[in-house]
Amino acid sequence: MLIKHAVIGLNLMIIGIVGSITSFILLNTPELTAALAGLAMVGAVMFAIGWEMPEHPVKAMREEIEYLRENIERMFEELNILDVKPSFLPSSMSKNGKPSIIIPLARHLHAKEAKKLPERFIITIRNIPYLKLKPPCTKLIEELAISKVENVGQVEDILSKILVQHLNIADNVKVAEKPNSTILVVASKMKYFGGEYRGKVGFTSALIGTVLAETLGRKIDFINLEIKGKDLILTFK
Amino acid sequence: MAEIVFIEKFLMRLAAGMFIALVTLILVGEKRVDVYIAVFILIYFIFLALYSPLPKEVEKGMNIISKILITIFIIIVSFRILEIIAPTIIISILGP
Repeated sequence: MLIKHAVIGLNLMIIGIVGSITSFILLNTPELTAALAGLAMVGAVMFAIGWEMPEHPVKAMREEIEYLRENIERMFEELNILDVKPSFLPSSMSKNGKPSIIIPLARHLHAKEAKKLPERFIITIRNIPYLKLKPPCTKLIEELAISKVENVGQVEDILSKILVQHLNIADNVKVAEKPNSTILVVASKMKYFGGEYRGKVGFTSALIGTVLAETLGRKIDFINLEIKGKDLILTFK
Repeated sequence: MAEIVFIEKFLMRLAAGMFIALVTLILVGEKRVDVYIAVFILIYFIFLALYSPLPKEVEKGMNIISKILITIFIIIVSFRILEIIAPTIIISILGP
């Protein structure tokens, strides 16, 4: 329960209901009655949200993320794969029917080899090892029933829905396909760049890559990441 | 955290929308309370549609409010329709 929201909402609701009835019966002023009725409505919405919404222990969550991030970063550093460019595979290319991120440990993965990969953290294809990671926001991707789309415009809509509407980490997302078949994704006015992770592909890039793979229905390779002010420019192929 | 920011944005814009509607209707010289309330309810549903889906946790509470508001809206509209097609019924309900 968000106590602040619930208390303020309840107060507004009570003041609104009592005030509007009083003003309607005693004062007979429709404008004041309407204003107080509106106040009661906003109060009711605020109260419902405050009552239902669970309050997260933000400090503990931050500490947990920091602890996990640091250890994963150290592990990747030891394996010398912090700067390795990953590939994103759609759910159709995985045995468990879920999208995945492939980090090559020796050689880059070819599209022909990426068929029905087993559900393991370390996988080997023709004796070449790869790391198969679980991408972020898989539940959200599942909930939104993201599947193969026809054009880049639809990809842009889906990415906007996720980054702007659901996660609220960017103000606007643009997707464009260049003639050399590279895909340019520009997320402008970013509010969150994915913490202090030193690796090549952080939270946002991994999420965008996964959505691209899922919507285009093919293997997507990460090419480049650029940050210009508050804008995040990502290139995929 | 992002969910709370999203919810707060929804609340702020809903309140702002209602305030703008209130000022506009006052400036127009509207004196009927039911018109104000009907417009507020419409604004609520517009913002709910614009910001949907709201986080899963609040859906239950919002559904209850939506049901109450749609009932009030139906009552208001029904009275307005009855006023036009059968004014005698209105007089018998509300008294002379």
